[in-house]
Amino acid sequence: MKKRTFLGILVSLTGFWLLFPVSKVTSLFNRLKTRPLSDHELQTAALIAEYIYPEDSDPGASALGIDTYCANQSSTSYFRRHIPSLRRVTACLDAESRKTDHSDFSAMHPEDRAAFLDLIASGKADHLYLGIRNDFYTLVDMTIEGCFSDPLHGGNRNARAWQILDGTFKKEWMYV
Amino acid sequence: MSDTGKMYDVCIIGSGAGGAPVAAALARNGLKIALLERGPLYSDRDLKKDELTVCRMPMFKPDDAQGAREIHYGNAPPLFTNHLWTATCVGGGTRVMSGFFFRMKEEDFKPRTRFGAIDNAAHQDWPIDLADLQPYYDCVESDIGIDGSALVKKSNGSSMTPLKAHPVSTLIDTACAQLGLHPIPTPRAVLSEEWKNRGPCSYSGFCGSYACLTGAKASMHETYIKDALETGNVTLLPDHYVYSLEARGNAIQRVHFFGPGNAPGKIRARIFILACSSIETARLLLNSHTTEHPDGLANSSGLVGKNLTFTMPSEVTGFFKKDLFPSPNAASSPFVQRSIQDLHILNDDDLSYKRGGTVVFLFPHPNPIQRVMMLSYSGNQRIWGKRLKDRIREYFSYNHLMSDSFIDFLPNPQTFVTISKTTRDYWGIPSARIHIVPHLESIKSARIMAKHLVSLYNVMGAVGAYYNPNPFTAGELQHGTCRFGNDPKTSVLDPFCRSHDIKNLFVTDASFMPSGLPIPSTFTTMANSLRVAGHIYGKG
Repeated sequence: MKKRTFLGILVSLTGFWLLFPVSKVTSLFNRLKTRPLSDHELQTAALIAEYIYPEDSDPGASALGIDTYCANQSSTSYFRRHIPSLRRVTACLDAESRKTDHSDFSAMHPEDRAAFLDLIASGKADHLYLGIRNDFYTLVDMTIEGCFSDPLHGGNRNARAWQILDGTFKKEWMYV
Repeated sequence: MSDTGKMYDVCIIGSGAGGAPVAAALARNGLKIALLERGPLYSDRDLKKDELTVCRMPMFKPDDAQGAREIHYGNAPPLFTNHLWTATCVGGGTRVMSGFFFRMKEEDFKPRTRFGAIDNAAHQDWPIDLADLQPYYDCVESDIGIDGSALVKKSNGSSMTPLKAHPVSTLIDTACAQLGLHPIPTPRAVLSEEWKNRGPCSYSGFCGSYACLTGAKASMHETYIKDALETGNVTLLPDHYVYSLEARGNAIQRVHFFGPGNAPGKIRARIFILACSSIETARLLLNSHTTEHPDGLANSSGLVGKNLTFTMPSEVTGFFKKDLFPSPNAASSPFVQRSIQDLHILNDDDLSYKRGGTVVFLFPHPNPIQRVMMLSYSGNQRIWGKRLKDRIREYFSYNHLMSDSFIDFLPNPQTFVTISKTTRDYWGIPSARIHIVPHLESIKSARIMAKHLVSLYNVMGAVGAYYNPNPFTAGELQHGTCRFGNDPKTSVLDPFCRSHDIKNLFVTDASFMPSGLPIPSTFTTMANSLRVAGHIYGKG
């Protein structure tokens, strides 16, 4: 490489770095990466949330409106930190389910879905990709926040999640 | 780059417990002040009590990019995260504090003389004593209002009544009497009655970690900052992130900041006061290095960033049958309003350093997200599914009482702040690198305090008690990093918190403290801030 070309590249790179420091480029990239969730991703999120917080004598995540919560929140900066984890898990679940069922994860039989999530949650599917268990734990956080936040955010429909806490809930807990 | 050209008398960086009192006191004496705050100015409208947006602190902490830090907890791999921020907004951490306002005792000023030197601990006696601080404690108390204080006078001349206490306080009193302990009403910077255009406490239970909507909590935003602005001498500049101090010789000329919209700017003043929390004050000084001050400003001693301390956590939760006392939701007050200071000194043979701390009783935070999140952990493991739901139901079949102990976190060479070589924040400014290793004696003290509390809960009739042995702090109360003293070789600041090296630089956050404290430090930080103000305007 000629000296002049080399210097040209060096000056261009320095100029670019000064104009767009790494942190700003990363931040821009992250924003692009966290586009709103698709219907398919929302559907998968609700299925995973129901596995994490299932229905029994008290309502589970689906009955509490976790899908509405995720849809309402997916554009907020606070929720955006969950989105990459959700996307990675969704893509992985779909890919694995296609290998066996030739369909997406959401189309699997509920028992097969639960068995699959058992593997991930118990650490027996760590080979699928590095960090899959941490991503699952992020979805545990997302589910708890969705189920137990103020109904204003879309989850915790009719404040029913709070009733499990001590049989009552206080009006002051309500945002509005 | 904006430079207003205006010369202020004083430029104060940080509007929390360290910055607001000094701003108000100097403004009352006619000085023109620029009060810069990194965070936003929140109105009550912004601060509804929504657990999702408020309590988990995204409103009060910079996000991962803006608040990036490199944190080393013990020998664990470093975390690159936004942990250990106190609130960044006008009023600082006082907007979300619990408001436990204890005064230091005489012996607290001489920890080295009273409790001795021990290996690997760098605690020092303070160069001042209680008599120096007492008048300023009184001033703060009468300025901002503390419940039950005789110094807080209503318009009819009577004192303010104490806050209502939950019925469990009687149970604590009885059990303490059996164990020879002497519980006291917890002094809180929360108004029980209307006073100075501030409303009384609504007893909603959403106090610590939340901003107060009635104005009862004595946040700086409700008290000293309002006082300061009323003088007309203060220019409050929220959303101004100061990243560098420009010095020439032994004086600072101006500060450089990123303002709203990330616009760069600078401000000139005669005197500069740092009050941006112990970690950020140290970071600012270390980042402001020049050829004349290659190791950072005010750092000829090499001690800027060293001797970082927190409050040593020791949290014990007791489980009680529901019929023993009403749940906080069902009672007229969610405040326990009891504390114990008998354990200030621990006469345990296992301890070389016998300093204990103050115990404050409280109910677990009512935020449902926070409580369920806590239950989704079993040690380091996560819980979900049926097991999580069963655990929630079992946990809430009891009433819970908590005790938070505020124990001396011994300063030591392994706990410090410096500048990260690898991490920068959103603006490209080197981040703080924080190392935290609690001293073994502090960990032992925390365990001994916990044992006392488990015994107390047993006497009260608890079904069980749980001690959280995690020795790492959440970081709300930070001290050290710019300790004060008489000798420039062993301290960063003089006894009036002025830099030994830079003659127009003062530090009024809790960085000045040369030892840990056995009480929450907010009240002391505010009193000291007024003391420094007194010195600056020549009446101290």
